[in-house]
Amino acid sequence: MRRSRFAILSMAALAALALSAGVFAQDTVTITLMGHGSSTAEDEALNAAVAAFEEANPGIDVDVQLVPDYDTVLQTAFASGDYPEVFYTGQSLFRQYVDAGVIANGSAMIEDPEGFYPALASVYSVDGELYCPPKDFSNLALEYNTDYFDAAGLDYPTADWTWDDLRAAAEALAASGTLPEGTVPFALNPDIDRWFAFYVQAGGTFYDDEGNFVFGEEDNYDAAVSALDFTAALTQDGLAASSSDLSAGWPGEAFGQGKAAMTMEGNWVISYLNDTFPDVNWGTTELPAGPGGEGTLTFSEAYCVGADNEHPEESWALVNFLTNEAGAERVAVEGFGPMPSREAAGATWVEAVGPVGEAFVAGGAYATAPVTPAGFGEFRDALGNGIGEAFRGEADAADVIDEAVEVSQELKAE
Amino acid sequence: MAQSTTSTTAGTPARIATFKDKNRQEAITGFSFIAPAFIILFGFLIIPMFVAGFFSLTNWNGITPISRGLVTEDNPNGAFEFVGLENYNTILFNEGRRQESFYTALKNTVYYALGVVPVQTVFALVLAFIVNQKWLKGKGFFRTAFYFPSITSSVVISLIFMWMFSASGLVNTAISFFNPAYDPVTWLDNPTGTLHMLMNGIGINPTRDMLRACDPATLQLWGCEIASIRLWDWLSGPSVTMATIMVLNIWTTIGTMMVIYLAALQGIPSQVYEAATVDGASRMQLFRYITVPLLQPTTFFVVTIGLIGALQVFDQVYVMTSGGPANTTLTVAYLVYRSAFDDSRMGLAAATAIVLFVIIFIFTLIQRRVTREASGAGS
Amino acid sequence: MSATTLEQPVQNTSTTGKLIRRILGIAGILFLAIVAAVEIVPFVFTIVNSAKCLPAINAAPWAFVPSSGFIDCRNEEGRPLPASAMTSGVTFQPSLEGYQMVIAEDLPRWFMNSVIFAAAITICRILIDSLAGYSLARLKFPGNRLIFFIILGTLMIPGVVLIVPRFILLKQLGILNTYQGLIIPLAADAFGIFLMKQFFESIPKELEEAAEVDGASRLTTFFRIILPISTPALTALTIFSIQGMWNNFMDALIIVGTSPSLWTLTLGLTSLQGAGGETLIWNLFLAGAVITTVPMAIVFFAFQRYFVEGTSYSGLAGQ
Repeated sequence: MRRSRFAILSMAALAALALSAGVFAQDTVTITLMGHGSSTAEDEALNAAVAAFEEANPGIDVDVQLVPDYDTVLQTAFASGDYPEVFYTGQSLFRQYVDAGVIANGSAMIEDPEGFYPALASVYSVDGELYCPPKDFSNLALEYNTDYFDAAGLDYPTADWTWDDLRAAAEALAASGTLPEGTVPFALNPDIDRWFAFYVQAGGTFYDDEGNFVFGEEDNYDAAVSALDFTAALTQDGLAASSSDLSAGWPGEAFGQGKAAMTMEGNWVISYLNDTFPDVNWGTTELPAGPGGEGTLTFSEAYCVGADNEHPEESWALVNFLTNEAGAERVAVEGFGPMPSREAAGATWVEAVGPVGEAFVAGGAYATAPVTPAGFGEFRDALGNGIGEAFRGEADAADVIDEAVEVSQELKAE
Repeated sequence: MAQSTTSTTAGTPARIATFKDKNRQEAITGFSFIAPAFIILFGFLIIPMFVAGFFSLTNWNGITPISRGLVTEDNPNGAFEFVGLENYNTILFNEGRRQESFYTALKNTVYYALGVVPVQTVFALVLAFIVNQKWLKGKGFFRTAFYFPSITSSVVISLIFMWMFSASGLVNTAISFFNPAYDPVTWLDNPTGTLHMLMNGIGINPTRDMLRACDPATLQLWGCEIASIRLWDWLSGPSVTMATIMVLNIWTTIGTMMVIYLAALQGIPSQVYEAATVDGASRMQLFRYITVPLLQPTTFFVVTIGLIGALQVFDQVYVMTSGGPANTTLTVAYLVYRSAFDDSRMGLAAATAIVLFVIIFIFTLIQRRVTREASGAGS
Repeated sequence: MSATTLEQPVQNTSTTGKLIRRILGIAGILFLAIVAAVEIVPFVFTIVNSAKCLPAINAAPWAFVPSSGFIDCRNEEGRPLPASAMTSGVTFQPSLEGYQMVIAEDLPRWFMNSVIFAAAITICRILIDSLAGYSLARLKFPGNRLIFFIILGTLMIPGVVLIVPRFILLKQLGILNTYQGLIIPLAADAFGIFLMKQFFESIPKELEEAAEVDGASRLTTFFRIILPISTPALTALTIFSIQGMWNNFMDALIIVGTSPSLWTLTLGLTSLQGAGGETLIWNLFLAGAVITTVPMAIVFFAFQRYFVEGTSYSGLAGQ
């Protein structure tokens, strides 16, 4: 019977392995803060801030968990019911998490909510109540290559530019013959997270007063079509090209490689261009205004507190410590890529990153977050594909918008 | 496989006496040998599969803690409701976006598998056969070189490939070097179907209106929709971008498949070759009439594993294209991920996964029959 | 391989025959060399670019001739040097910046964890998979084929939908964020069982029958006779298992993702990808790729020696 004994032994060994899980005793309250890793300097600053918090609150231990592939890990933790007390939430996922009932309402707990940029606060509010204090954010601005503008004898772009000025400058750059072979005036991808800026500048909105998603519907229809007509014409007329047409991974890279005289990217380009393309001379200004006025897109994250939470007091204490005015100043002084979420700290941030930062901060006053409702992945794909087709001249702007609106309505009906 | 059943039937009378007893003992041994593996797989894969099957009957979003239970009047904050087979209907039968997405993904996945599996199998066999030759110098080097892409993680490989295949990347630079007139192809952002290109090449070039028309009476079929997808689009073939991903995948998996063949080649007794050589067989003949048939169980293994892997392709799509351009690299496994983690429809994701499971199972059964018949004809 | 001339019997000894064979031999080697180059070139460029400064990678990714000793990527003021100063398009000035950034992280610990996971799981799999494969290939018991198909079926479902159930299960067992939590669920795998089963099926039955006549038990036969001649298959299983665990991302992420002290090399290096914020720091990333790949290449090179022809079994002439 040696063989069965062997089988039993092997199972016993496995069982023994399974049993030796460790358990730690806890004296103080431990709360977990989960997020994704950022740049090394940002991670260090967060750890320092948390250490300062722990020192000020001896009864609270904070376990900072910065994990790779964060969204997957967080969603799995939610689903299992055992999830962190405090966690980062990106703007595109906020609604989904609120609908799923895993985010606590912070309206009674958040310190000085008026100090946040209104555009950011509205992203993380439901029915006027702020759930999560914004952590930091980025805006789109216009980057331009000063050498190319000098060579063509053109004035640099300014904050009062309109679409017509953008187009006129692009035409002048192309006509001047001073751009190097293969360089286009403008690097623009058929990416909805860039294109929506034109939609907003054309007067388009995403939600009505009741919170319904109204992209391209009624008054917004003309805004969407004119935005797509304008951008598709830039591409069709050879004034703009996508990063893949320019042999680059993204528009910022194309711009850095000198393949475009202008592009529109967020404040993350600052350190990227400085580190990777030190030879390039460039400046920034606010995005041009369209027929509907000024507009830019904002991308942000917030600290949220979990709904199933045994230590809400301690959690809010931590979140407030990180996001109140002192917290915002602490972030601003370091001059990291993302900007502090409070208007008061904007000037400090510009001081830290230099004058190129001004245009990004200025956009905070009128920015819109391009947030689509939960489960609208298909809409984003449909519109993104349609924009690509319009840019390539394979589809009419009106057809693309019609189809996107149709998808949106189908999804809303579900 | 055939030989294993025939050889046991020959038994002496003494053996027959203890036949029953022996059978029982063999069964006990068999169970105890397989028990550790089965317990692990049952606990950590099969039970979760049943749980996923359960999810597929619900509208759970995959976020709300599942422990909150069923939504009822007393429990309005519950996590899920039962929806029966609605998720299956949504992807398979109900006309609409989700059906279109599913069948687009299925079409892409099948094109992918049909392109990848035969090529990688043949390449792997030929390479294994060569690096198994006694006369070859530097075997270790060649084997390691061929295995290299399998070693590196697919995320790293995908990112390196993106860099190589970007419009100004290594590939286009190399082609331009040999052919200065070359107009750089944007490999990773080109939704044109390769079969469409082929058809355009031989003069099948439907206009916009033809693609909208569907009238069987006048044989205008291109615009006819089958499961929300136009006939013309069903026949797209893999897009240029998908073809690039296919090349990447073939390139990375050849090494693994080669190692499997290499291991199996060791099992062919040299006496067999010696006997055949004495009979005057050439090297090509040896390969065709001895090596290939004797490797039949291995080929079954390689093709099965290759097929299962190809029909579940996910990593490269996730890292490189997210399903774009124009959904031409959307695969079923990626659709499952997107439903589960981007759209928060875990129920739908689970249903899609179960459907994929069934499809792979059917493909495997068909493939099993085909390999058997092919080898039956060979030997 | 163009082998039309090989159709003639091998005992062609004329000088022209020798010449043709020599030319074909050279052509064959050339073919192998080209395929090997195609397989290996991307890795060569991974190494080359991992040793460049960021501006040089962007300006000239295909420059491959190092032109000096290692340099610093930044000047005294901390400003990055311009690309024109460190690459000519063919030559470049190498730098260890990427490696320095990787090594500044918790690299030795990630490395050790990867070694522990890969070794423990591989040892388990060699034993468990080969026993199971043998059972399916050789032992007759009711439900044999059914069990095989069930095991094969576990490969057929997209792992994405199993993440949540497995996570909950491991949480219930209390083994999340532990070594055993990552080892036990992966201690057997359908791929390995299938591999071993197909291999055992190709071994002649006569070997075991002879042992059985001598009165040896199945377990003895398995360990004394079957395993020793299974070196090639076990080698393949070992290579695949080590490689699979070395590159495993999803299981490691879900099971030990929130405990940095248990992170594997793959997890750790993925966490570094965020270090650039929105953009990838290429030299750091490629340095990580080199550090992951080289140990696996060494392991493979060491093991591939066991694929030696002539592990033949005696007494098979009648096959």
